[in-house]
Amino acid sequence: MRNFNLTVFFFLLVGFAYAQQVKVTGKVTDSESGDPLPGVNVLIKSTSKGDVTDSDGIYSIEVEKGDVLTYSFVGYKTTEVEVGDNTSIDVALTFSFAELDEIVVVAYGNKKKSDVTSSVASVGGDELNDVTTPDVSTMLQGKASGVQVVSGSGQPGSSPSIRIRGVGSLNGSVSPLWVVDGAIYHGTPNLNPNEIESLSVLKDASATSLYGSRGANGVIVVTTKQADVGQSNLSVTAKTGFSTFNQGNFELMNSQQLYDYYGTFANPDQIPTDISDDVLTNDFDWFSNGTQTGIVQDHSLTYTAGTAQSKTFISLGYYDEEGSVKGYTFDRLSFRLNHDYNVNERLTLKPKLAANYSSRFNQQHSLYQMYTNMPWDSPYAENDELLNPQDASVTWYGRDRSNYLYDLQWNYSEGKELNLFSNFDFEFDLTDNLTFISTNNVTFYNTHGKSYTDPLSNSGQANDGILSTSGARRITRFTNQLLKFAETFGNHNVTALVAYEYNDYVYESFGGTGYGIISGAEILDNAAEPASVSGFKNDYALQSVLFNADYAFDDRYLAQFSVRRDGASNFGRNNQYGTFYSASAGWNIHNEAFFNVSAINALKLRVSYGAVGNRPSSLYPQYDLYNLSNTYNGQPVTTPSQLGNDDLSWEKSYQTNIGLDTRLFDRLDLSLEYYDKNTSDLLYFVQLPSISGYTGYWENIGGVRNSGVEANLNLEIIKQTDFSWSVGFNIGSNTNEVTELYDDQEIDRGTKVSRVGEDYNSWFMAKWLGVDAETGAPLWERVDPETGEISQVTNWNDATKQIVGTSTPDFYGGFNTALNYRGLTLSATFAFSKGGMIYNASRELYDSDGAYPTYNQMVLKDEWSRWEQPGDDATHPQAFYGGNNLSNKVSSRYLEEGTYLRMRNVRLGYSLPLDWVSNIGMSRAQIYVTGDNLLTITEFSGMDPEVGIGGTYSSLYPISKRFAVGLNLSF
Amino acid sequence: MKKILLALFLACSIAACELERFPYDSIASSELFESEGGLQSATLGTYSILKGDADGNGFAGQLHRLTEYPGDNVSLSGNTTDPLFYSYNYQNIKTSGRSNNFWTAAYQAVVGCNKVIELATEGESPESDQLIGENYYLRGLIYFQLTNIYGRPYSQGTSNLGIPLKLSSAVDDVPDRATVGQVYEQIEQDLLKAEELMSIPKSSAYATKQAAQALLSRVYLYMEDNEKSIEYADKVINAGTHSLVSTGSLSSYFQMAPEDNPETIFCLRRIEESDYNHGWYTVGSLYANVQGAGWGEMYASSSYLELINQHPQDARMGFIDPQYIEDENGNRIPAVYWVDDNYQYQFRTITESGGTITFDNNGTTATVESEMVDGQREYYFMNGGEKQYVTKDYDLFKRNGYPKFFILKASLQEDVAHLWSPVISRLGELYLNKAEAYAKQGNDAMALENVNIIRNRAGIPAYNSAAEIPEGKTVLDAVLDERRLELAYEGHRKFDVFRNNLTMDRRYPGSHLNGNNPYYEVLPTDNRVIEYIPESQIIVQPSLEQND
Repeated sequence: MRNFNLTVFFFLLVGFAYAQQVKVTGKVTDSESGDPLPGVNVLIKSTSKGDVTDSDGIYSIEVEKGDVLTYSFVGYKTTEVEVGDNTSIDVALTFSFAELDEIVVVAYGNKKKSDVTSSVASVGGDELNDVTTPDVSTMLQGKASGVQVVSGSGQPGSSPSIRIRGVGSLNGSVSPLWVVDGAIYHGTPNLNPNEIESLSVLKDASATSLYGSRGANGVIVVTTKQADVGQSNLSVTAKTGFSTFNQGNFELMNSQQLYDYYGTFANPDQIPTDISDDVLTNDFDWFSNGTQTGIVQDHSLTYTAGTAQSKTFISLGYYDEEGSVKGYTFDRLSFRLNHDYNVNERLTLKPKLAANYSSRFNQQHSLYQMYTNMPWDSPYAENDELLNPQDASVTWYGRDRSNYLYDLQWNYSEGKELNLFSNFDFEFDLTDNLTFISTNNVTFYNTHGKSYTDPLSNSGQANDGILSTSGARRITRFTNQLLKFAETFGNHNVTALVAYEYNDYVYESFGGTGYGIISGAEILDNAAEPASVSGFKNDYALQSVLFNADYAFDDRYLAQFSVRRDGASNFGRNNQYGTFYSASAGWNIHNEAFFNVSAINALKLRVSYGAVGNRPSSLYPQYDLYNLSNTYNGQPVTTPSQLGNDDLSWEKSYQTNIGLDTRLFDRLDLSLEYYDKNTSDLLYFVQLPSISGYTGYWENIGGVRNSGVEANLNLEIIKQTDFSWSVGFNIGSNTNEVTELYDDQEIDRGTKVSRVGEDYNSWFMAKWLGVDAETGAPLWERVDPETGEISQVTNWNDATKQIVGTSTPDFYGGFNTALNYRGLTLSATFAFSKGGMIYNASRELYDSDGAYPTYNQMVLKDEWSRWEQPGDDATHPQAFYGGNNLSNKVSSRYLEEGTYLRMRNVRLGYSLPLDWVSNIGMSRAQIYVTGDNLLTITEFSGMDPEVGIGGTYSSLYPISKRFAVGLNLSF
Repeated sequence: MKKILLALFLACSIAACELERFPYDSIASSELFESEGGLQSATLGTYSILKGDADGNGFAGQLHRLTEYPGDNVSLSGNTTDPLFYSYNYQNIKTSGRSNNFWTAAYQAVVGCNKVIELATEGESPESDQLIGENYYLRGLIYFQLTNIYGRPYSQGTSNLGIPLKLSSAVDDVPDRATVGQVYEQIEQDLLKAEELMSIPKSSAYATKQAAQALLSRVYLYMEDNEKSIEYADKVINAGTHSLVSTGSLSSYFQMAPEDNPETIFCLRRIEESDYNHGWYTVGSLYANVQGAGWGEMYASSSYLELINQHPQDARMGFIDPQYIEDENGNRIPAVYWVDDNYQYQFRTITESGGTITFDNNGTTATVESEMVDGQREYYFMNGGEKQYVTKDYDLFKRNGYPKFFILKASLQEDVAHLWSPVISRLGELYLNKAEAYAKQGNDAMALENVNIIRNRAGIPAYNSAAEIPEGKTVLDAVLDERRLELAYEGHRKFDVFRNNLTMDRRYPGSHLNGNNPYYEVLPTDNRVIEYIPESQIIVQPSLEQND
């Protein structure tokens, strides 16, 4: 590296040769309308020296005789003019459809959309920023085909899971890789969405194979904002919103309903004698007590300035959210500085620095208790003081004798997180067609957590109060040194890159707990007695070389090839390095001379094939280990913890993609894709019988195949200058199949199973056959293991565990619409998911036929019914105090379809007329109102069909409904 | 240009770092056993696995749940999502996570023992022989508990299926179930070998010669080899290394630091610093709420209370902590209670005036009378023309109608709420082993002599002769009742009932009677006398045969 910095320094010192200069001025206009064009880049060719036209299209520049000026502007054909002896040069630029071609961010660079041969979904920053959230992943929902974004909690600051084209691993990671400004990140980066210029989702092998061993689950490439040349802008955005708790279809019993339910028990003799109509004294609604209208604030200030020599983007953001469940707040302060500086015509420095600091304060009301506590119990005494049911003299009917509000008077936890992202990047043009690009990134993540348990609280009583603090830090380092070659020979266009990359990670944490504190203590020094300490550390490293070449002939034929060799610390010594590759081709049919269909503006066919990899989630799966962290009688001990495997290697995913892109009638964009991802050598934790002494070990066995289709459609229905209306639609469908397992041995994962030929997300449990109409007893299916004969059983233990559906949706996607009329904009985004079964695990507790008589119970849905007498054709068995034959144990009884359609966002905005705002020095002023999740259509009986990626519903924190008003001002 | 390429090359080679990374919390197996002390730390590792974690998981905690909850000394006051519920109410499930956790920990520990036994050489020094002996002892102990839980009692036939006997550390050595007879043979061999090899006195936190002999006494008792059971009990008693805790301090047996307790022969020692956190998932937590910690949901059963209340002065009452209600003045509220025909507790507060005790019984005034039965004053009232015997006591706090008789045998060690070092063997048991063995040999006098040692220590009257045994009971019954009283909540009762081919009587209040198909009694021949083999083990080892 040192040699390099010297090289950089050398170029910094290179000055400009001085020569005789003249001033040239002129006006740039549109060739068709003759209107002046502001913001046109006017540059002296082969230098970074230049100017930008003002609002009247006027520019002025110092030049030498002999110089050539280039005039470039998005959507217009770039024009060159030799200066000669002129001092005034007016230019008319010609609009060109081809030039309007979108630039798409791909692996290690950008491409014109028409040159792309792989499967990439691109989402612009403006498109992204509709819902009110601090989290980028949430914003992606419903906006890119084949990208499944599943939220699992409505808690402020929680982030959803993303699956790109299905689940391609059994035990390895299944989350996509994140790349921000060219650097690979660990996990999902905590970024302020307002800082994002664009986001590309790389889906097929040819798009991701340059990320080699980490590309198999897809890659999300984020580019942060930068100023445009000639722009100087200060903008302020402010948004305030209100979140409300959304119970969806779910309803719990009130006091009387629960009492009446007791009346239906078939064994009233077993009901404790202390339950009488006295219970009706209270009718407490735990949900309405524990929820609120939470306030959300999202404000930002950005400054951008660009000249031909330097570009700067500075942003400051503040986000603050109160949960719709009481007692939880999240806030984040974020800052970013992106700076590009052209040292000379060859060298550009691109340092970037971003920081964010977030805090969480958690004194959150217990959702579990809101779901299960009984309406017969009020948390308050008659004098409005909080009751402590741990005090045996308090009358309390609920099973756990717990009033969470009592301890919550004092106890809380909090967390702070600091993220620093720093890049020192630079680009150096070695020759006209060879560029050296250096990307160097360090990220620092630091957390501090504290948990406070007051001496007065039930949980702190035994130890006179407990104080725990913990801290963790993570440092990742990433460096990539890349040479890029680009050259055009006549109709032949070649670009190629070769690079070396190194990336490492180290994580360290510590924690301490003290007992015996005085109320209000904040630090461990205030604890009378040390209780425990803990410390943890892990790390990994990867290094790679990579190569990519693109070739285009006459904008008609496109070809691409890439290869990457990766080495990683978490593989067996016999297989530490692996090679990944891909090839793809595209054909721009519309550019062929023979193709002459005026209705079709663009038509492209592309195919790709490649091999990408995946690493195991375990960082040290290859070693034979004894654990050092246990003790016996105060002495350190060693216990066997892992069987080694020196041959452990990468998961290999072989992917084929076929795509068709077209634009019709100059209005309709349509993309269709078919893909097939065949993953083999899966990193697989082979389960051993415990008799072996181990639970299992890592091995490369097993395969999973995902295949599917995706469609993306955009229609510009009306496109006039001051009136436009567009709609967009995307949909993806993925079929998953486990193709190979160790010894073809199926893996019982509790409520799911891995079995050859079946979906990885297959639900695996007893099959519910309903209620015996004569006896009211629950019925399950038994399949005789020998004969396959099917029979009905009333004993849950005799029921056969079998596949009863899958949590994989049939298809999912989103649609959106935007209407602009003069200053008025109306837009809406919808997300949908069809099929996919949810296991409603909470119903084991509150739809239990009496098995949990001292938990509150849900009100049965309208179409459900309870068996009462022989002949009843009911959905629910007869209720017994204590339960009816384990009827509430895991079975397909609690599987429900997770289909939904949700209006993620609707937004109405008004931009004040330009001539008004320019009078007060502004360039833009917009006010808007926006609503998130205002409408959800679903049959699911729980609060929210978005239950998280696993498909299990359990005491869920549903996603809030939100309403907000905002203001965007630019100066 | 060349310069740049050179720079690039240099940059690469500088950065081209070593990719080796090794975990910080582990040691490579190869390194461990080459190092001095490797066998020692691996042996301690086996103890650590058996001891389990601070959240009640692992061998010892699950062992307690699987052995004590199916007994008749406990009464659960409600339902629970925890699979322990199905061990308690005999509606066992094949997917019990607790059973699988027990099985897994047990075999992990067995392989730990096997590894040391394979690598160590006998006869090098008393210290190394002691170490090898400890591993034999632990293996014998684990197999004994495993076969009792998953295999039918020895007394019901040695050809029934026991558990797999794994005798090596090889990963691919995965045997199927051996017969109960084969397993007991291995247990006997291991313990005899352990007895022979161990010679070094150690605290009760570690296995010793006496620990091996004490366990052998129980193993022989289970095998109905009464002579040897007596012989091995005597070996420990006569060694003089242990002595009974006095009557006065008996109730604080489990509060002492284990090494200060003269009676404990071997326990799995837990310490506060590393084996305890908030206490809510410990075994003691289900039995009692102390110092603000614990669910306190499983109480002493009414049938156990009835037995122990025959002698209100019984020192073992100290392990039961009834939660009395107090009025505003801090006084307890006099009450009578009884168990009705539906096995529900009925409580009535009583008023005493002029020597007459009355209470309101659903609108009518009932009078409490008393009479002397077997030298004890018994209370009753006339309920519809029949005598309803009642307990005259004070009103208690209840959960779901079940009065809170907290159990303190797994709590309060060294004054930490639910810290507990489960006792494997203690001297008291050996007198009871002898008593039972003598009773079965027909030697009533010796049987009573040994029972009386335990009765005297409990502070209750001795049986001077077989004639003093309550009517309708044999000497063996008296011995088993005493064993029940003494060893309650220490994981013996279920085996003591079924290995003697007795019926478990569960006709007492508790949530085991809830639901539509409860077990009121469990015959020794019932399939559910033993646990299912964990289903997840059968999935990875299909040749493993499931219990009926």
